[in-house]
Amino acid sequence: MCKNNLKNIGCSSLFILLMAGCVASPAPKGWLPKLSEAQIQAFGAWLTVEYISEAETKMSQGELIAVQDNNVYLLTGYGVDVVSTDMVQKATIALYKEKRKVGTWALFGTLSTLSHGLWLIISAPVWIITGVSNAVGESKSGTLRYPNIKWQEIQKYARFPQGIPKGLRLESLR
Amino acid sequence: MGKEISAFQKTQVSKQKKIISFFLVATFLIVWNFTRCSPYNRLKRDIKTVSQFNLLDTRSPFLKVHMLDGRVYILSAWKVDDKDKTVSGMGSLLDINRNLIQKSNFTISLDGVAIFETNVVKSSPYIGTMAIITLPSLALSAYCATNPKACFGSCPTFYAWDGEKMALQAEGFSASVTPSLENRDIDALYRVKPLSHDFEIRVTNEALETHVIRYANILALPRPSNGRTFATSSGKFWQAPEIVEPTACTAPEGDCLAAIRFFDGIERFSKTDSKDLATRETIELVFDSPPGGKVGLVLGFRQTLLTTYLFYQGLAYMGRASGYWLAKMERGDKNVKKYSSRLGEVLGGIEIFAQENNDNWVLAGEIRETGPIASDARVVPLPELNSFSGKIRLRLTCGLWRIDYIALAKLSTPAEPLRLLPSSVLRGDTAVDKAKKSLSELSDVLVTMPGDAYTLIYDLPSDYQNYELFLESQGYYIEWIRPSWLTEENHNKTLMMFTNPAGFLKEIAPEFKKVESQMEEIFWRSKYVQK
Repeated sequence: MCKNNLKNIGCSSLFILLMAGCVASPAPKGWLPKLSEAQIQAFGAWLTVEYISEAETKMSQGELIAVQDNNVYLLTGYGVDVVSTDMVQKATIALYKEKRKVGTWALFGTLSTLSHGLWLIISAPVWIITGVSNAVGESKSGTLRYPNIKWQEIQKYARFPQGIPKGLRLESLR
Repeated sequence: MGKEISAFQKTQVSKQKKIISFFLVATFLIVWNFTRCSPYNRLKRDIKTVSQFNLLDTRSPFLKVHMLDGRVYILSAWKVDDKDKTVSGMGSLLDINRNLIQKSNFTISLDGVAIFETNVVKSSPYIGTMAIITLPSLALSAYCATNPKACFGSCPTFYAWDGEKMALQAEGFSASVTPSLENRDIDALYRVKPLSHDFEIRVTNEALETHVIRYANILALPRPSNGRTFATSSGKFWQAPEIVEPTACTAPEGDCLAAIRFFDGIERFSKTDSKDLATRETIELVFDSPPGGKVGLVLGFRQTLLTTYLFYQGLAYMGRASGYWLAKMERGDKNVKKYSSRLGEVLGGIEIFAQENNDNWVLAGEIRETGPIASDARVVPLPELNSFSGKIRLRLTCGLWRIDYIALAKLSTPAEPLRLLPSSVLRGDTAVDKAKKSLSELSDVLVTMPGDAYTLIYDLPSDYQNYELFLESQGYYIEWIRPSWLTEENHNKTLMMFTNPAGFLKEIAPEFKKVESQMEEIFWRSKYVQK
């Protein structure tokens, strides 16, 4: 039984680690700023949109440049994509990268229940359930989702929250 | 020293409160987490237009000033000048591709400004949640780590209806800590009140132990009207039609009569000696009107946690070698068997002396009962005396015994028990025929693991109210070695414990005194009961 407990706790801990990382950010690795940097950097958030075009569902992703006049502008590797917000089915906006503190915390917390004797039958599930839900919550932190969030709110996280500056040539954006 | 409400009653309530609290907190956290549907954003970004520039969130350490042409200033230590309609601060000016144009102290007129952006980082709610759950978890780790030898250990525990609740009534074969020590044990179910002839007993494994139960029978004996039936340590039964309570009880701390008059959970106990755990004390009892004829002294008692501590400490000192020593014992090594019992011999039982009218004290017998969990009621028949003065003296080891009840009983006739095997065995609400069969056949055993619980049902005689009930159990249990004990492995002390137990009890006394006052509380709290 003891062996089983160890195995179960080990599996649960691994589960927490996986769950903590399960909501992977859609942004390219290294692209998102840390939370502390997000307030001092001037780029837009990373936007992934799924939209209808010519009766097909298409996807585009890149830096959120602006939301203006029922259009969302995003800077992709191939230049600026302009997508009508009316056509967008869903979108994910990654704002910053959250450190995985809670997942690590939950992992050690779950492992620590091995010191609880038989109480771990109570304490381990509490740690696992709370740890997983918090770790998932934390991994989602810093990510907004359309249509849960309106474009007006999403607009704040663009490079140009005021809209596309007058006279700006979109092709000049890098 | 003193008397107190039974630790069982107190700590049961305390433990239940803790479990309930823990569950409530956990349930709250879980529900809270799962009902929080939308992802949580810790970056509170606020946008203000030029006309709102005096409403900027001053908690934001940085201010981003987005210009109409797409450039952006990022300012720290920023401030707003209402009068001049400017914002100023130290920072950077970036172009549309966010390349650095200039670093400086800037004062920006509102003329070219499109909007202002502030950002406030909020603390993570997940950290708070985790902190809430971490506190009780750490507390649990701490007390099990600091007092590993106080964590609940027992032997099968038996619960039955006492008129109010399913209460702890007995612990089975507490001294049978290895297969070779498997033994029969008889415990009086002195406080049970069967509700019908279908008598229910709940047997549980509440410790880090493996229990091997060969049988658990009920012995039913006729009870005399206005009297009781008692068992002796040798397993004989006597009907006692007359029971007399003492008129005086004097212990080293003073009057102890109130604590021992009734079998009510109020116990008389003392602390161990700080220099020698084998130090003895005496209790003097006076019976003004002892019954005539054959009499016996009735004792309701249990051990303190001293023996539990010594047993666990012994295992800790043996450490990784404990398997070696226990295997030697199982193989019938006479030296190991001889030495392993010596510690118990030095601690001793409760010696009972009766006084004759010529002031001569006669040793009437010695009584022992292993186990700190449930008090057992036993009778010690007094030998034939020239003339009994009515005075009894108990000699016992300080801090080793909790005495709940003392009385003098007239022993009329020996009695033979009616042996009842479980008529059914339930796990939860489901009958388990295999478990019933295991408890019914001597060649088979019921093995239970921590958290296991079975309900045993016995078919009592129809006039069950006229019967005294005893639990007859046989088996053994295996204590699980806790990892934290292994750090105390010490073969010199193991050797001393076996070969010089008197010296060992002196040497270990200061260590035990450090934990003695908390042992009972921690012990009961650490029990695990599956609800």
